[in-house]
Amino acid sequence: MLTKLVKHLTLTISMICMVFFNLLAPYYLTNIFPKKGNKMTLGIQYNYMIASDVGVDLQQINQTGFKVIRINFFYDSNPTSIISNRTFLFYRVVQYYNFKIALIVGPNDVEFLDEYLSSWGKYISYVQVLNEPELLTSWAPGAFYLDEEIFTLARTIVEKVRAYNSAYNSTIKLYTNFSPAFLIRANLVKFFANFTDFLGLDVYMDSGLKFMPFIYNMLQKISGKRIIITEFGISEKDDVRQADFIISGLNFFKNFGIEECWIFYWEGEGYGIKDRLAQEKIKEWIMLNSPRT
Amino acid sequence: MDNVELAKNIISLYFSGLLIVGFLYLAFYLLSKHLDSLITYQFPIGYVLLILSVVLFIPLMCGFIRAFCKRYLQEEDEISLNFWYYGLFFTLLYLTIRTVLSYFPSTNLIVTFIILPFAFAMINRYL
Repeated sequence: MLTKLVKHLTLTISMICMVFFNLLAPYYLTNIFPKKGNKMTLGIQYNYMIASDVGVDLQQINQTGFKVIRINFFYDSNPTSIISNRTFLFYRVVQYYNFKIALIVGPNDVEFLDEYLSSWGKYISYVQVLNEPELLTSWAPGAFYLDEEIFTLARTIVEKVRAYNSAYNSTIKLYTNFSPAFLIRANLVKFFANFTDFLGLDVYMDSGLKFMPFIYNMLQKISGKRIIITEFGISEKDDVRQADFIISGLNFFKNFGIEECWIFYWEGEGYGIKDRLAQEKIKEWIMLNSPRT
Repeated sequence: MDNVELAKNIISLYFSGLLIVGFLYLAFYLLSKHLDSLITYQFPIGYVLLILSVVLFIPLMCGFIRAFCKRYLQEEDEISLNFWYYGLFFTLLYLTIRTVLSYFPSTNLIVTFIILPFAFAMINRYL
């Protein structure tokens, strides 16, 4: 009787341990058995509307080693407005560097996309079709867009970009990004996989990092697309903790075999890395782990 | 025990383990192949089916196969009819080993179809 009890207890405990092992082990195993020779390209989210000096910022971003700049859609039809001036300044400076520009197009930007692309399309490499569509809210927090509304918005953006590409012989690539919440709206992943060139996964917090292999594999399995990290960062006032978290994440992504990771973001409270320890550490990391081209 | 008897025992042990491992391999192969259509099909029904497959259908079937192996191939007199419980143990053990093996792609199939059947049959004998 006692032997049977001990046997069953041992089996039950070992089963519980195996469940945790299967969920968490990939993170640790990836660091123990890294994919050798993987070089990772880094990008950064940049908001030129709050920048004190766009020229200095872009120079610093270039010196840090970032190859991709992800920007929000700022457009005003009035050419003398602050938005137009800033956008003009950004694109004027950015052409001196070899950055790839990723443009985020949201629901409210769709109607101006044609005009935007005809003005600045030649500098843009990627267009992001909506931002985390599975969590996209319309008129109030929590009021999620319905599937049909997202399909319509996405189709409009895709048509406009494709029309621009064929009219100007351009090669703007399409992508969209997902948070781990895509698991509850997996049909959206399937839909976006039909027309995007690659997909992005947004990773935040330590738990996001630990469960990332599971979520990443799921996203790749559903979409069948190449997956990159489109948002990675931490809102942290302690410079050392922020730098440590970002570097440990970058090491993990590299060991996991990720080809590209975009940091969230350049300037601002919390997440910002500008003039902080993280910027220095990332610069060193890029020198060691990014492709030279 | 003469050599013929020993060979018979080893082959019987191997095939009893291979039945369990082979079933699990096939079940998870099919599941992963249809994962995308499963979880995008009429969710949350897809997720319910996925969870039921991993924690109920596969363990039940696996538990049934292990009981069959124990009874007929290893000629045991007494078997436990608690299919789900033992089946879940083998399912989790298989998943755990496959998680580790995925980091050694060159040895993945060799270990799965040569070493694992013996290991599973031996564990089955003592359960």
